[in-house]
Amino acid sequence: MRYLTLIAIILCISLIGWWLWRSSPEREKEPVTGPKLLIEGGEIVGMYEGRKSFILKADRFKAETETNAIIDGKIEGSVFDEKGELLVSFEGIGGEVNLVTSDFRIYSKGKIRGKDFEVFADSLNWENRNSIFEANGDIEVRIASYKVRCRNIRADLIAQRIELSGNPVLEF
Amino acid sequence: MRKLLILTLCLMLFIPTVIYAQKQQTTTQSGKLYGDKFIYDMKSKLLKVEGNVRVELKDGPKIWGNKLDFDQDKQIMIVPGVVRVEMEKLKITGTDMEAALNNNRIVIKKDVKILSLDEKGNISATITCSKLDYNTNTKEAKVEQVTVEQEGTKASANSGIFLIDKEEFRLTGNVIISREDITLKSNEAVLNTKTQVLEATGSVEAEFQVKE
Repeated sequence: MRYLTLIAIILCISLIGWWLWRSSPEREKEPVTGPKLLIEGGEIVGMYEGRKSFILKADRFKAETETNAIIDGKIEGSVFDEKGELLVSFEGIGGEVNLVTSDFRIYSKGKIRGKDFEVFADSLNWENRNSIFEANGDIEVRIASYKVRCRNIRADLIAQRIELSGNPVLEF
Repeated sequence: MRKLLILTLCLMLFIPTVIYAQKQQTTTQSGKLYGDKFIYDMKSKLLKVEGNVRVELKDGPKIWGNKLDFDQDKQIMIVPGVVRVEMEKLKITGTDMEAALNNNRIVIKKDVKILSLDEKGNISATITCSKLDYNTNTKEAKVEQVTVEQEGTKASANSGIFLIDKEEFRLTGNVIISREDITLKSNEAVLNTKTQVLEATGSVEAEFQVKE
């Protein structure tokens, strides 16, 4: 009986300790493997936590700084999920890639196509870490067989959620 | 053998014709949907619309609400809470609406109030009912627990059908019509909201109050 009580107390203490460790703010700040970029030929391969996050194919790199790669001409590429499966494919004309965060921006004639949706926008911003893309301006979104026109879009591909604002109108 | 071949050929032509004809019969309502913000869930294929929701059905009513859920697979629009519907000569308010685009139906589930307007836009009749089921194709509205008030005449019934094109209200079941000192009880009654003629049919009972 005495041993049982002792084991129960030890278990309780361990449980409280584990719970405190889990909810500690230090744990939130644990370092994660940041994004990396591999530039090979006409391709930029965005890496995130050791996996291939996206491939960006461009006509040519116009200029390159320490933090930014400026891309000229036609851009096309694909974004992949954690399992390496195709999440979306994109294209556009002109853009830039942040070499630190692997985020990229398409300057004009942007187009993103995923399962059941397609987005046409002038400029597009891709946030690599969270698999989020945003666009503003004249936007046309095709969801399944419907067409929506709006001014702003934010799509979270991990949460599988698309938010449209700026006078959105759906034609059905 | 030749007969069998001809029969098979006929069947091969007949079956696709029937399938094609059936496909042609199913019409889906078209229109435009407006709102402040659209949130589309790619997993459930559900579109949520928030703030200043407005639906404009082609050649049909306009619908206003605060929120809307659009199920793309089922082709159903749900407006929870207060809803306002306007169509030619009718202004409708109610609570909790469901519109099925596939079968051209708009159902308002609670607290329905219909204002029938004349050509000048003045209220010609006020109709309250517990539920409204409107068919945008036939322009017929089925109502439950209905009360119609028009120019001093009050009529109530268990159910009714409002033929919007004819501006005619057909009341059925426990119909009670009262005007000034006369009360009529019948199984059926027809009220024309335009001409304001009310006709009770079936076995009609009349009660008079004689003023002394």
